[in-house]
Amino acid sequence: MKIVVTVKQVPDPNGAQALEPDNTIARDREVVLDPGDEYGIEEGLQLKEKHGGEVVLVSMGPEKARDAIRKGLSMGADRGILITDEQLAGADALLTARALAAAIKAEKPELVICATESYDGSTGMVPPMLAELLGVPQLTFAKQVEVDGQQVTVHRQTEEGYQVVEGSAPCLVTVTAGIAEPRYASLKGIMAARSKEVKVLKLGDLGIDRGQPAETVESIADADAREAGEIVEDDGSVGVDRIMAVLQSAKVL
Amino acid sequence: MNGREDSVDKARAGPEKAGVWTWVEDDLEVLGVAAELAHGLGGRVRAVTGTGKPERLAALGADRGYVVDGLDEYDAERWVTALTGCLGQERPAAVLLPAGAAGDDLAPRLAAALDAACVMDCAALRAQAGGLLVLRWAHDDRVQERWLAPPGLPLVAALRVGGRGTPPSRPRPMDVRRLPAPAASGRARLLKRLPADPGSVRLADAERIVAAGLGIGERELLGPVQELADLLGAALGASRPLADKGWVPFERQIGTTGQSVRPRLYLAIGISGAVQHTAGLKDVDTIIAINTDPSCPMMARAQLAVVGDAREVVPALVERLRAFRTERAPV
Ligand SMILES: Cc1cc2nc3c(=O)[nH]c(=O)nc-3n(C[C@H](O)[C@H](O)[C@H](O)COP(=O)(O)OP(=O)(O)OC[C@H]3O[C@@H](n4cnc5c(N)ncnc54)[C@H](O)[C@@H]3O)c2cc1C
Repeated sequence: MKIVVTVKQVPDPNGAQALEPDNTIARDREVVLDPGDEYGIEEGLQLKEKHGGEVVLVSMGPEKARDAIRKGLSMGADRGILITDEQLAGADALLTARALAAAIKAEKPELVICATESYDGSTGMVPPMLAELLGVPQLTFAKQVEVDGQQVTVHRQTEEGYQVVEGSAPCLVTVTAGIAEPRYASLKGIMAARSKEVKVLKLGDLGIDRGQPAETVESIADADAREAGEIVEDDGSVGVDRIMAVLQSAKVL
Repeated sequence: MNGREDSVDKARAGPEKAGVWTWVEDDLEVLGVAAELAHGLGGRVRAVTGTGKPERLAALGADRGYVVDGLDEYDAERWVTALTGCLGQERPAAVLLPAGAAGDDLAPRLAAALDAACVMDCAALRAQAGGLLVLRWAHDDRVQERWLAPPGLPLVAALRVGGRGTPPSRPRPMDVRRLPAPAASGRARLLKRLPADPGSVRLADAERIVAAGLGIGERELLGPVQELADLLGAALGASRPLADKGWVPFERQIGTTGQSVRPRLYLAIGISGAVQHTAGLKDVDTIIAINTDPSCPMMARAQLAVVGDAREVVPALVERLRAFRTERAPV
């Protein structure tokens, strides 16, 4: 089974400062492979181990995003494709999906795996857009994926529980964190990754143009319309008194 | 693709295209928001439904209702076909969908099909000069972003619902169009529904959660913490280190690599409030935190921050709640 996993490089979620004072994600931080994508790669690798085939990583980003691909290759993926073009800087979700779709179409995969959402954007828009542009069914929020021939069955997480949804390949699956514990890259894997192919594609190679940006961020404000909380020092009973009062006013008691 | 681009151009040049479309099933809140937005835009409201009742749509401000007969089980491709079918050549200002397992899945796909802008996790929308202003929750709800969608391009918005209450009544004559549901794609089929497995999804559904972190110090304190949860009718949650230690099952872990939860009450005991933890807290009404460190992020987030030692506060609270329950118990 030929599997494409989309990956993205993001500011390190474990960095001390998650947001800049102006509420944007700090850009100058260390960048890493999106932890959410590690689950996708792991799932792809496990499916390959069971069913054979190939795992291809596709990423769009600056030249530096090659490191994120490299990390996935050292986990065991076979090769990578990096879409990088100055004209793509600041691409919105639909343009991102278009670029990814163009690169993925050429690969003719049977399965495309994406993380449910990226750490930095956290909008989750790209995967369903990608499915639409590829013209394939989408099986989202999967916490379990099974493949049997051309049948792909997922356990889809919903508000009420799970749905067991079956799709036929080619299809796109988004996986939730925790679907499989991502493996560590072994030393051997890291060495092997150095000689694995990472193909670079420009906008022109994909036959798409930049187009008009659709939606743009105007400004970002603290959500703290929340009034500042109350702080009490517990001296043995004040804390418990206040907790009881808050529980009562919140109608918990 | 070409056909779509033509219609984009027409819409950009065209006259009044300020309609607001919604997809409404049993949750009518989104229709209220659509009616409000359409009012601001001076446009009309179109509501598409598979199972909703047309009378209710009219009462809440829809000018036209599309009832797609037989459109029941959600399937992304089929719904996109149904909605684009209803839209026809129209290029509305906005299409509002309720956020959730189906809406979040549908909105981006529909946007790609319509060549539209798309914004998820929307809190509010407003018409203003220069386009539609959208407020959206971002970065684990720590901030609200203001997005501007330019006019001429439809905006597909997944709107967080809950908390706005029933929209005001705006009765009006509505024309109802009935159309048959498009055939199921057949390429994705719902086989069955499984109930939430008790450990995990009960936590996601829980209205009240008592959660413990490393600050409880020792495993033995989990006993009183569990008792506290039971007394409050709450589910037990935990930060990752407790799951890593095997003190609680993995399904109890809240955060980026665990569960996302939306309780009304979150009582955090000895949890510092690392981003990876609070990322799992969505739309919590009331947070109470118990911690020795008044300056940690969880305390800053709490409506009530109790500075104290969990080993003292938890047993004292358990005792007080027990007494409270006994007083209230019928004799
Ligand atoms: C990739 C990645 C993913 C992660 N995913 C998750 C996740 O899903 N969920 C998650 O929770 N974490 C996750 N983490 C870990 C996260 O970064 C934090 O390390 C973790 O949440 C901290 O847990 P804690 O608050 O229990 O412990 P600590 O940060 O050690 O906090 C303990 C708190 O207890 C207080 N305390 C100490 N003694 C007492 C006392 N006697 N009484 C009361 N309070 C006391 C301290 O003041 C402190 O605030 C992840 C980390 C990484 C790197």
